[in-house]
Amino acid sequence: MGDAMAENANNAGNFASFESTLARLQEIVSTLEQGNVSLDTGMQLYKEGMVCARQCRQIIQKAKHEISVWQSGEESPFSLSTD
Amino acid sequence: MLGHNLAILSVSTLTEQLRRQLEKNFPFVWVRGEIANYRMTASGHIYFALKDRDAQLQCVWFRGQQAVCRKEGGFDPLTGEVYDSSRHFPDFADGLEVICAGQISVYAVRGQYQLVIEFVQATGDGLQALAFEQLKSRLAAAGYFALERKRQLRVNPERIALITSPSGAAIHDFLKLAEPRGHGSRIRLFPVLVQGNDAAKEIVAALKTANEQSWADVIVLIRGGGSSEDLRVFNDESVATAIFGSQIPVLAGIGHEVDVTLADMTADVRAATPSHAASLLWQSKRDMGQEIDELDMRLQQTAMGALKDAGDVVASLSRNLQWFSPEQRLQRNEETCAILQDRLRTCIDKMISQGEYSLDLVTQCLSNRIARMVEYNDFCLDKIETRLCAHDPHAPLRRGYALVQTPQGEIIRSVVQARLGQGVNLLLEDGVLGVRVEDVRTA
Repeated sequence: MGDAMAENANNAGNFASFESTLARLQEIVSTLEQGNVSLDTGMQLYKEGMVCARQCRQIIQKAKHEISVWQSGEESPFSLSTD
Repeated sequence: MLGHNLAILSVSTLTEQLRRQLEKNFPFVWVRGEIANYRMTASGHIYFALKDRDAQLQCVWFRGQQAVCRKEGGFDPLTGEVYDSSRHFPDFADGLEVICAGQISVYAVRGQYQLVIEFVQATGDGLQALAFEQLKSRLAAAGYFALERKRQLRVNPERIALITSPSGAAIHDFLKLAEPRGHGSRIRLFPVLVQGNDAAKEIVAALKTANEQSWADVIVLIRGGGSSEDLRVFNDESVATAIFGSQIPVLAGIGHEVDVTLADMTADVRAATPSHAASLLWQSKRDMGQEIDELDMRLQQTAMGALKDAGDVVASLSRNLQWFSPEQRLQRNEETCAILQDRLRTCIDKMISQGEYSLDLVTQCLSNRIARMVEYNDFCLDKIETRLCAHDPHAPLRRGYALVQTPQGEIIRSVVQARLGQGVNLLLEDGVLGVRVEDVRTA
């Protein structure tokens, strides 16, 4: 249960970070494209953006849907091969 | 019996014999089937085929017979039931399931046996279709299908409540399509029956549970293809109502493209099939990758652009700075000096040459003037000389004249000046004669 929760938290963290990371990447790109940031800030944003892009790619690469079944008021792992 | 008849028959004779046999054996039959190829001719006769999965039966309903059914107070010849004209004269359309009664006969011209209908009534299924239409209208009126209440699905949802059969083809298709999509999500399966008597109850319960848990971003209700009977539960009012009442947006993908159930129509989003449902939920990883690539590229471009701009500014400023450096300044001053010096020299040169020129001019004038003066004086001298020469008292002597002078040298111009006896000097060109005056005569 503890493991499952940790895993959930981890997953949730991943999901949250993908959405927010992609949003952050978009934000960074548009900020830079507006062009009214100082070079210093710009370089910082650029570095951050590169990190965001890399993280997004990693998340997509690793992403798998996690399937569970809700039965009798309980959640349990589900596998198609069991039928 | 016919087999023993060795006589050779004409087609008409055989057909006539068959007709008699058929009419004798099937004077009045009840047949259930689905209407196909329905058409009403100009004469008012109705033709169609009754079919089920494996067979079909041509039917003809002559106009005269139709009138019996249409007439108020008509009745069933077997049961005595009085016709309710709306029920017993259904709106014909292909696909409508009906029960027909009549006699089997042969249409000799085509060599085709057919049912000559005496009356028709909609079957339970036909009625069900009617009931379905009524229910649909009612739900539509209640706003179940209104576009305004349809909610948009979140892109790439993280938590999905999946309501379907755990063993059906639908979940296979759905999960297969889900795999290369999205950035990872949690799918909570609510196993339900998707056909049969308990199906509606289970689906409604699952919708309720999913809503109570309030965990999912979206509820996905799917079922693979099947007959209209198989899909009937998705036309159930309780299911449609549960979908309508769901706080969580519902995505339905039921049957094949052609199947549109009330559940589909009530759902916020309708997918044509379970696979389609998966593709509506999540972007493909490839697309997401492309999006990231595109952002990445823009990031590079803008950052590099900003760097280049900054570099340009620095370069331009350092050029400016160099311009103001002491060395440059010194050089510039030197250059200025040199230029000024040059100009000065030019000026002086110009002035000198101008002076020289003026001097030349003046000198020229002067010498001209002097020359002229000399010339003039010469001229004057000549003139004077000439005049002088003209007045030379000795000049006439050369021509033979003589000049008379007193011994004192005084020139005697007139005879009166001379006295008799007086000695005078006669000056000739080449000497002097001393003579005495011996006579004086006046001219």
